[in-house]
Amino acid sequence: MNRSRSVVAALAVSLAALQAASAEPLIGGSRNSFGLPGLIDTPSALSLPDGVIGASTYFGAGGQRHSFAFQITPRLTALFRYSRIDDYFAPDDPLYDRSIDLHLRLLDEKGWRPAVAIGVRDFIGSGAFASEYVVATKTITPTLQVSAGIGWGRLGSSNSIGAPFGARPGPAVVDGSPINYDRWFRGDAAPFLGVSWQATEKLTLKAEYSPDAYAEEVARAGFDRASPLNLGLDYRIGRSASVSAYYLYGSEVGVQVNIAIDPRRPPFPSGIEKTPLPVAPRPSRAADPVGWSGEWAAEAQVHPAVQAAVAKALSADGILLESMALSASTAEVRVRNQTYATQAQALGHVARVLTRALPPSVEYLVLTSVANGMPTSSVTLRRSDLEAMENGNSAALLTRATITDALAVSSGPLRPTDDLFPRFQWALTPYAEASIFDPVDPFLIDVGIAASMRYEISPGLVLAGSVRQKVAGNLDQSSRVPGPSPVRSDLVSYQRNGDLTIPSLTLSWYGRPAENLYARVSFGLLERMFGGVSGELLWKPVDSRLALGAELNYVQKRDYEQRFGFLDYTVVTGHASVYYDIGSGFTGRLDVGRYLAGDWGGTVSLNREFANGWRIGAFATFTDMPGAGPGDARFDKGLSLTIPIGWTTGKPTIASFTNTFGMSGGDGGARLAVDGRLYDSVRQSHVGALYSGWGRFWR
Amino acid sequence: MTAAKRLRHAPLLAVLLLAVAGCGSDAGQTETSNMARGLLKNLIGVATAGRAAEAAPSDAPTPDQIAAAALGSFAGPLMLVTLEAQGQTTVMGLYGENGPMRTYALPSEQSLILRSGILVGTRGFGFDMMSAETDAVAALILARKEGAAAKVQRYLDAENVERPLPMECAVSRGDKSEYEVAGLKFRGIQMVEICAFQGQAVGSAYLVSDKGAVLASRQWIGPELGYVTLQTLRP
Repeated sequence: MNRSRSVVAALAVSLAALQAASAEPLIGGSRNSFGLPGLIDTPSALSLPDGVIGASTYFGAGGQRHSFAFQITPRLTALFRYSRIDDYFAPDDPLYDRSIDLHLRLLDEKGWRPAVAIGVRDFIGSGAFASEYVVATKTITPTLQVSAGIGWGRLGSSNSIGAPFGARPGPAVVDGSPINYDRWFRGDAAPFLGVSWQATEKLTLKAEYSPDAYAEEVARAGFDRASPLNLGLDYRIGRSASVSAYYLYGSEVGVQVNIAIDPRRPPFPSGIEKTPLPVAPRPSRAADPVGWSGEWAAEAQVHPAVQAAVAKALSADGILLESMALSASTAEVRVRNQTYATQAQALGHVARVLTRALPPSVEYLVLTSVANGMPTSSVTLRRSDLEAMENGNSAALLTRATITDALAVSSGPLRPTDDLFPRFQWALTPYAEASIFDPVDPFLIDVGIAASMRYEISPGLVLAGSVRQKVAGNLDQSSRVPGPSPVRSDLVSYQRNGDLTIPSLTLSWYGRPAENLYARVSFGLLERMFGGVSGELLWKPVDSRLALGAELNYVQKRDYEQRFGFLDYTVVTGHASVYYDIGSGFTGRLDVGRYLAGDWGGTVSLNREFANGWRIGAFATFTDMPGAGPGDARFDKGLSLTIPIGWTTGKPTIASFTNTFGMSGGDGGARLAVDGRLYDSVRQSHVGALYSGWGRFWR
Repeated sequence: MTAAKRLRHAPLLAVLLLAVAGCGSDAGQTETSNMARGLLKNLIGVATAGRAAEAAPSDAPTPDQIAAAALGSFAGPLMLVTLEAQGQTTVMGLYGENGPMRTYALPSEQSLILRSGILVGTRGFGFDMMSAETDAVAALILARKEGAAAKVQRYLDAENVERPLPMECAVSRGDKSEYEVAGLKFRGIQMVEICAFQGQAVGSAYLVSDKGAVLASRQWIGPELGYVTLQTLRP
């Protein structure tokens, strides 16, 4: 029996190895100079692996391209690009541009059928790279792939086969315009062809015929396109990086660095944080009759002593015990998780600490999560289940847990933890602020020191603020001209002032008016550019996929010095919001209301979230903002990316890094940037997030 | 004694891991916390001693010396542990006990969880085994019987889901064996467990005493962490 097993084993291993060898190039391991799977200038019909984020930086003939590609679904890739096209307007007068691509794989390779994809490149705004394509890719041998397709726009600009779908209109609006649907797949079309050969495990060689005539560059700046043939190589470094080198247009060279990050392949899936405290089972009834009787509950000194011990142990674990109720049978703790990115893991630590500290008669443990002073959810567990199921299958314990709204449980009077409030914290940190790839100011940066403080008067009542002092930099040398009716387009006027500014100083109140309801009121210098008052109400049942929110703000424009002065512009702005957890990691959001310029409209957002905290999102805003100049864009759109810091280090932290790749930064569709919005903090401890993170309960 | 002295001056890493003191009405709880505190202090002392010795290669402590130092400075249950992937031998001490399940902590603040001597989890290694179903194989191994049984080990994936790895295991009986460490002798019968999954096979071995206790073992944690070798120093 053993022998036959090992034969099977050997066979399976070799089969797996074969699959790995042929699967490697199919996941789009090598990218083109625009950052999407492909050859050099031309695309292929491949995709990145699902969920992967690919960053590429290209330097070479024609300029620079810095691309961020997101594999939003297994078939759909979105890409945001900062680019510099050398000599675009005239020699030494480059174009700095931002562009977005979409690439959709329609068909997979099957039998004799090739994979087929369709894509639009740089489809918004001026469209310096604007092109569309249909492409097919066929794997000839496990290491050889051929891609062929038809391109429009730049990809149809030489050796055209005609214009099958009619003439291509000019771009409607120079900047910030809506999507140019009417140009897609119009005008001259031309075929393109590419071959990629995986010479060794690490080295891929590529050759292509590209119909891009580089007409603008040739005409304006004497760019030399001697040949439509491009050659390239891509060399893999480790699991997630590669470098590419190109010989282009018969006259030029280019180099590129690619990095692919798969949110589902962290360096340490289970984290490297220290081992948690184990459960301590209770002594037998005979060994501790007093503890089991519950008579201790009548003694006034027991509760404070237990609470102090629990608070101390939790604080050493990075969790704050805000208050506690204790009776002979039930204990409720209200805890603020300051350490673990997954709330379920923090609750697992709390539960185990309680088994070590509570007298034996306490059977019901109510773990109430607190966010910004608001109790959000209560997880009720039986202590005997924890004892019997410690370090077992976490899913089994979840079936024994009850999750309710925190206001729906009544465990008796909650005693605040001694010496916790008022609570003062401060920090001194360096900061950097940059303006990159702006059409006027390609690269400006300031660095300096920021001091921040947070004074919690009582749970949910917080005075918080920060002060900044620039130490060095050149943002004050910006030559950008502020917009005419400044809302956001005068950002440069704020950036020029770096001396002792107050980015924010607010007094905020967070509370629970009723079950399922959450409220916030913030007053003061709400953000760098606006001050005033902001109120928000959120309806979100603990187990609901749907949430509804309303926000109303009355704000005045802050003075450019960013201290306590104000400019002569006030506005009432606010939104009604619908949030929906679609499932499979997707969340959608719709905001409708009035924006900062007084314009009315709506924002649609779609996010893909991983349980480990990675988030990739896209948003689009449409408003009735009049005018069509660069500062008055009534259509804003962009991508956003959130990276949890703990994912990269393996160490526990709730910190994360978010970057938004926006297109316009104009006055239309601009929203207030107030701190402490309710939805994201509340839902971390609601049923959806607790379920998806429950695998870490015993971690 | 040097170890003990050193430990007094050792940075109090142990503070981070302190167990909760009891509420006053429950002496057993207070004791547990003191035990955990003492254990960690001692382990840190032993580890520091080991590190200091490593500086002079000619003086590198043998497993025997590590074991003797640990036995001398700590009163609770102890095991000698080698993570083969790291090639490092150290001592781990009892950190928590819940029925037949024992959690042993390493000086590195990581832990191994054993149920009746069979590995059911790890914590703090980055690719931890989160839980395991070992009752069926344990029944054979502890009774020193041959047979086939199922086993499941679970690992956290990047989406915080515990992914099960179901295995079919064959348990067979080997020779009598014994080992000696720090002057202590341990005798038993070797039980070999070959587990197959997804076309692969991994083998573990257990030295089981006449009383049905696992004295020493070499066990497979998982694809990334590989094998760990465990030897009882004090049961």
